[in-house]
Amino acid sequence: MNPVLKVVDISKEFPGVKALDQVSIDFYPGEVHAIVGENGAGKSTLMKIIAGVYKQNAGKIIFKGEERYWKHPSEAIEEGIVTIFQELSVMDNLSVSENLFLGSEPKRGPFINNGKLYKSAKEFLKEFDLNINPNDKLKKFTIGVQQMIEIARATYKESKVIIMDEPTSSLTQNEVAKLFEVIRNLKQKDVSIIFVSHRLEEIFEIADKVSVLRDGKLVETNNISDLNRDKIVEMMVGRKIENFYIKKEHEIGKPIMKIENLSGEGFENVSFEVNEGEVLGFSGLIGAGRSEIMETIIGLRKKKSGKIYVDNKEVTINNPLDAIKLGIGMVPEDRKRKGLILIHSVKDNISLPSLDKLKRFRLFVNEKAEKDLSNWAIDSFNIKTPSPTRRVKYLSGGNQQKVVVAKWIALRPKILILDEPTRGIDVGAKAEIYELISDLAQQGMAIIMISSELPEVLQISDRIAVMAYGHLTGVLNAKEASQEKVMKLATQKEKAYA
Amino acid sequence: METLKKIFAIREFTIFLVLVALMLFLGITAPGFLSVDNLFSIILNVTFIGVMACGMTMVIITGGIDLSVGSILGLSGVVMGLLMHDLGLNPVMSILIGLLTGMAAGLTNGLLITKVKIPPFISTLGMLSIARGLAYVLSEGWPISPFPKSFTSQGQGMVGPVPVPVLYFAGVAIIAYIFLRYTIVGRRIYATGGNLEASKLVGIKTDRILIMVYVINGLLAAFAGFLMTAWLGVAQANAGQSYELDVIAATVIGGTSLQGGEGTILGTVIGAIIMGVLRNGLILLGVSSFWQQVAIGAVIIIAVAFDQLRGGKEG
Repeated sequence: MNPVLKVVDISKEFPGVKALDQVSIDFYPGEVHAIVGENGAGKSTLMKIIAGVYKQNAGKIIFKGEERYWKHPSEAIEEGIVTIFQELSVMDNLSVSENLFLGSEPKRGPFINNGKLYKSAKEFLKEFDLNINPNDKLKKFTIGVQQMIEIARATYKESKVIIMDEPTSSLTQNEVAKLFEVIRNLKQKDVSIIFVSHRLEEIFEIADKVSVLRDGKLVETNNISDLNRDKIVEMMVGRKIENFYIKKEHEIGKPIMKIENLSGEGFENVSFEVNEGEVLGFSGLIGAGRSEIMETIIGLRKKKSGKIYVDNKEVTINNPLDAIKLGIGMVPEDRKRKGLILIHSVKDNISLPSLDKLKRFRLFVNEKAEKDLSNWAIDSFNIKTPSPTRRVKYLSGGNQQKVVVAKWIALRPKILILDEPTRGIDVGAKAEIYELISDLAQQGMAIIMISSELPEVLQISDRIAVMAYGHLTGVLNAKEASQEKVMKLATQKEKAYA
Repeated sequence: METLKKIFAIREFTIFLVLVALMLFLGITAPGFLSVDNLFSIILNVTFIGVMACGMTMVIITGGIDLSVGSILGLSGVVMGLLMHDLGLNPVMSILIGLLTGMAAGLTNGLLITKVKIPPFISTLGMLSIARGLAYVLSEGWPISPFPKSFTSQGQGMVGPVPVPVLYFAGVAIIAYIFLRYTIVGRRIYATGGNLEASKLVGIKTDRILIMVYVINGLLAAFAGFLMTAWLGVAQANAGQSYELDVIAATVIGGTSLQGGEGTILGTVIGAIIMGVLRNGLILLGVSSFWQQVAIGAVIIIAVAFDQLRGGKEG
């Protein structure tokens, strides 16, 4: 069989960086071809060139046997190359059904046939097990749901090549399983799937071939049957990673924060406790209300009822500043929208929460201290940036996440809430984040980590709180927890409402 | 080479080059352009726009806009004039109350934007009409004069060859520059404009920042009202009419992004001077006032287009 798509000797330079260096890969119909590599290895750049978002400096794209140039991404889409980008490209001000059928709405004369739109959307959503109202605005839903909609939209079109850039990074296990079912169906229809992911387990589950990129160069393309996990990691980082997950022994101290019968929008009657030096994992399906609880604790959302105690004292938190004063910080899930000021520099992002501690003459920023702080953060969190003044929007996802974590740690909070801290970042960076969490717990910080990746929660946490449908369905000790036990609690509708 | 690259990477430098090129061109083609008298008269003409543009820079950095500055200039000028002329209040008190009037208008803008959540464009458009209307109501449409010498000397006096208002403008620009560039609050203004959500999450009281920025903008508009009234020696309800457009243009030519999060006082000052030089040069060249408007509009668009294209390439 002939490849449906070939990239030949593709090179791409950005000012100061060679993002891709003579990369050649063939993609065949009916095949899932995984592209892996560390942050900044060039995966996203390559995908964007294939999709016509970027233009290569050298090299060719051969599609269905012909050399092609895309003047605009829409040309690639018309030819049947559809991309699900890491950054969502759904319109969150439109409804679910409008998003699904954007550009191909069922019509009655010149008007959109809304009845039919609703019905086809409903049926289509059923295939994906999404039980939501197609007329709701997309912004009502979590990133996970939005991502599923985006994937659904791509599969609806007649596509020859579907590029999925980190499609699972904000999905739960169940949703991932659903997605894989969809991918297998697409394979049957001879669609070629390019699958970019950091999650190696998934690659072994779904991919037929794997190409590894490192520093903009193609290391190798192999059949999945010739590979194992260690081999891939070795190719990615160029060295052996011995202990992938390191959990440092740390002592768990006295209770630092207690939540009592907290209710708010999206969750009800939640009580839990977290101790000094403890990592409390929060597991559950997307939409279970985990992020909402945390945003309520830090004062970003209004609580309906319930009490919060810090250091055994009841506290009132009306806004994030109150939370910060009590020593509570939160690394949000959506780093681009809530975590970073993308157009500002690495240094400015890191120092922002700490400005009050970097004072000089009461009103002024002590720029020397600020520079020291950002250099310290860049060094100790291994943030890869050409300089502290580089705008964060030019960093890779993993390095952006390190900036968000770093800016909070610089404040030395007593309690750090991390919402999906490893979403969309590669194995190397993940390992670094895990190590960091471990270190912080060892130093006595209390950590609350929301994560939809079960292996991650099980590995990192001391205890695991599981939520379903806005209720806390159980708290497991990490030693006795297993994927099965957690999933059982996470899907437990009956008990949750009882 | 590296340092040269760095210099070119500074936004203000490109704008500065445009200014230099413009001045060279006019120096050669327009007789009398480069005389000291003419240069100071340009700066004097730029003063009122420039003072307001310093406030507008902060507003636009937060991602907002303020259309009411021209009207606030008119209103506060009338307030100062009436207090001195009709009530016989001393100039210092009159100026202070005039400035407070501007701050009150700015505070109203800020509260409407943050608490009632009316978009800046609409709330300040309303204020444009209200403040201008009040200026007419208070003055009943009549020009107000004369004023004590101690007042008018603030606008008409000279220190050596330098008109006094120019010194005030320099003072305002330097303070605004230091405030935005070096203070903690200044940083928070940039952060709020760069990403409101992320700023809230790190504990910045973004509503307060926004309100403050509109109050400062109202204050500076009133300050321009003081300078202009003192310079003209007469307070008029229609003073500063449609100045908001020149103020916004100067700010945007100076590289402040309407998306928010970016911009500097230095760029704005250069932007304001470019506007003044252009006006002056076109007059000296004998271009008709109708064509002047066309030329100025074109320059605004070219300057912003240039900046957009450059911005797209930056790594």
